[in-house]
Amino acid sequence: MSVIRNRKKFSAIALTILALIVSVIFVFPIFYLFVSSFKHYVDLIDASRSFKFLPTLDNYITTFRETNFYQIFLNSAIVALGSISISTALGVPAAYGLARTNLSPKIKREISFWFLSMLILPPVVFVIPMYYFLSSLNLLNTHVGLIIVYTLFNIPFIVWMMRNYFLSVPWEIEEASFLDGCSSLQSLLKVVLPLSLPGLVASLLFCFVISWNEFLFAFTFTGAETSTLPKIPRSFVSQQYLIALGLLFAQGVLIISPVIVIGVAIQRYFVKGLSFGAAK
Amino acid sequence: MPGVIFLLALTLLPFANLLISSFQYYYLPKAEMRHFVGLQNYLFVLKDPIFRISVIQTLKYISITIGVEVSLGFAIALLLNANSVLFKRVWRSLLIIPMMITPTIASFFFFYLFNENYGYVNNLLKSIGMKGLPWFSNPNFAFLVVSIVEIWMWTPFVALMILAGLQALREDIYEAAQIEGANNFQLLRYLTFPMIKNTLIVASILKFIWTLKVFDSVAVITRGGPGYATYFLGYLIYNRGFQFFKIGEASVMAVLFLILVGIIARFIFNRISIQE
Repeated sequence: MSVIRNRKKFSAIALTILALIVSVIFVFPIFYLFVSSFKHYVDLIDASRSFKFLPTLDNYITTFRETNFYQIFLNSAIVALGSISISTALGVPAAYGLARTNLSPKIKREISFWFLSMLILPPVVFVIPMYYFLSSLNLLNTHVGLIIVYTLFNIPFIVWMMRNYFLSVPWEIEEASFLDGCSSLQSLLKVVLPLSLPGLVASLLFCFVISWNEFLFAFTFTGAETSTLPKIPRSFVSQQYLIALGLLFAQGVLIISPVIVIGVAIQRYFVKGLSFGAAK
Repeated sequence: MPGVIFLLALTLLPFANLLISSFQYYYLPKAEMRHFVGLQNYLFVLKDPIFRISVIQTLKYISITIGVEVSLGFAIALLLNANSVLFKRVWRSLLIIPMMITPTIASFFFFYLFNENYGYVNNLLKSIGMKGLPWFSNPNFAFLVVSIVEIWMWTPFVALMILAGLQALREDIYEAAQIEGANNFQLLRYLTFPMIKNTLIVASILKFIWTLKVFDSVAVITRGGPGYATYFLGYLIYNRGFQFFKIGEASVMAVLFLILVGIIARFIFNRISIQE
C-alpha cells in the first residue's frame, strides 16, 4: 500500500514541477521585461548583466517628467472607454432583440452569422474603406474616428456574447415581468440585464483589453496628438531606439499592467471571448 | 431590431466601398484620375509574384505555428488536467498572461531578446559554446523569430481551450476502462483522443482565424523582411495601400482575402452552433 502511495506522491510532485517549469517559460519574457525596466542603459545592452545590475527608477521618472507618455495613455483610455460605452448602448439592445424577437430562426441564424463573421474578418480588410470613410467625415486623427472603428468591432462581439447570456435567462421570469406591466425595454433593464450582469461586465472588460491593445487602426488613423499606446514600440524601433531603450521598458510595463490585472480577473471569460464562445 | 438593421448597414458599407475600389484604377497621389478598369486589377494581382510569395509565406506561417501550438497546447492541457497536479489555479492564471499582453510590446520585447549583439538568446547560445545567430538578417531565422512570438502568445490559449474540453469529459468512462485493465497510453489513445478530437479541430480553426490577422509582430520586428520572408498577407495589403498608395490593387487583395475568410467563417459557424 505504502509503495503505491509513495509513487502517487512522487508523480504529484513531478507533475507539479513540470507545470511550474511550463508556466515559468511562458511568464519569463514578461518578468524579464519588468526587471529590465529598472536598468540603466549600460546594463540593458549587456546580456551578461541580465540579473546582476544596480536598479534605478530613472526610466519611470524620465517617462513622467520628459515624455508625453501621460498624454498617450490618456488617449488610449479615452478611445477604449468611449468605444465600450457606445458599444454597450447599441449592442445590448441588439443582442436582446436577437435573443427574444419572433423572427424566423433562419433569419436570426443568418444575422448571428453576420455578427460572427465580423469578428472573424481580418481587420486589414477594413483599413482601406475605413480610411476613406473617416477622411470624408474629417475624422482622421481624432478620438471620435478611432472610437467609431473600435465600436464597429466591439458591437459584434457584445451582440454575439450577450445573446447567449440573454438566452440563458429563463423566459418565465421575463413573462412574469410583462404580466406586471413592464415594457420590453423595462424588462431588459430591470430583469434580464441584472441577471446577466457578470457576463456583461466580462464582455466589456474583454472589449476594453482588445481596444487597448489594438495597433493596426491606431497606426493608420492617428497622428501625433491622438496616438495610442501600442504605437509606442514601432516609433521607438525606428527612431531613438538606442538612446531611449530604458524608457520603452518602463512604458511597456505601464502599458501592460492594466490589461494583466483585467485579464487575470476575467481569465475564464478571456479564453471564452477569444474563442467566440466556443470554449465553455 | 432597428438597432440590428442599423448595424448591418454600417458594416455592409465598407464592403461595398472595398468592392468598388477593387475594380478601379486608384492611385492615391493621382486620386482625381480614379476610374473603372474592369478586371485589370484582379489580373494584375493574380500574376503578381509578390502576392504569390506572400500567400505561400502566410500559409507556411499558419501551418507551422498551429502545428506547434496544438501539439504543445495538448500536452500542457493534459498536464494541467492530471488529478495530482497541485496549484492548478496558479498555473492557469500565469498562462493567461501572454495572450492579453499588448502584441506590439511583446513583439518589441522579443526583438530585444533576439538582438544579435546583446540579446539574451545569443548570449545563452554563446554561453553553451555556440556562435550567436544572425536572427534578423537571415530570412529563415527572422521567420522563426516571428513564429516564436506567435507561439509564445497563443499556445496557452490553445492549451486552456483544450483543457476546458478535457474537463467536460466524463470520469466514469475512464474508471470503467481502468477496471478493464487499460494502461495510461491506451486511455489517451483510445478514449481521450477520440473524445477530444472535435475540440482540437475547433481550436485549430479558431487559431487559423487569429493567425490570418497577423500584423503587429511583423510591423514591429521585421517589416516584412528580410526579402519577403515575413511579408504576410495583412502586411502586404497594408503596404500596397498605405506605403505605395495603390488602393486598387490593395482592394483586390483584400477582397480575395475576404472571400477566403468568408468560406472559413461559414464552416466554423456550423461547427460552433452544432456544439451549442
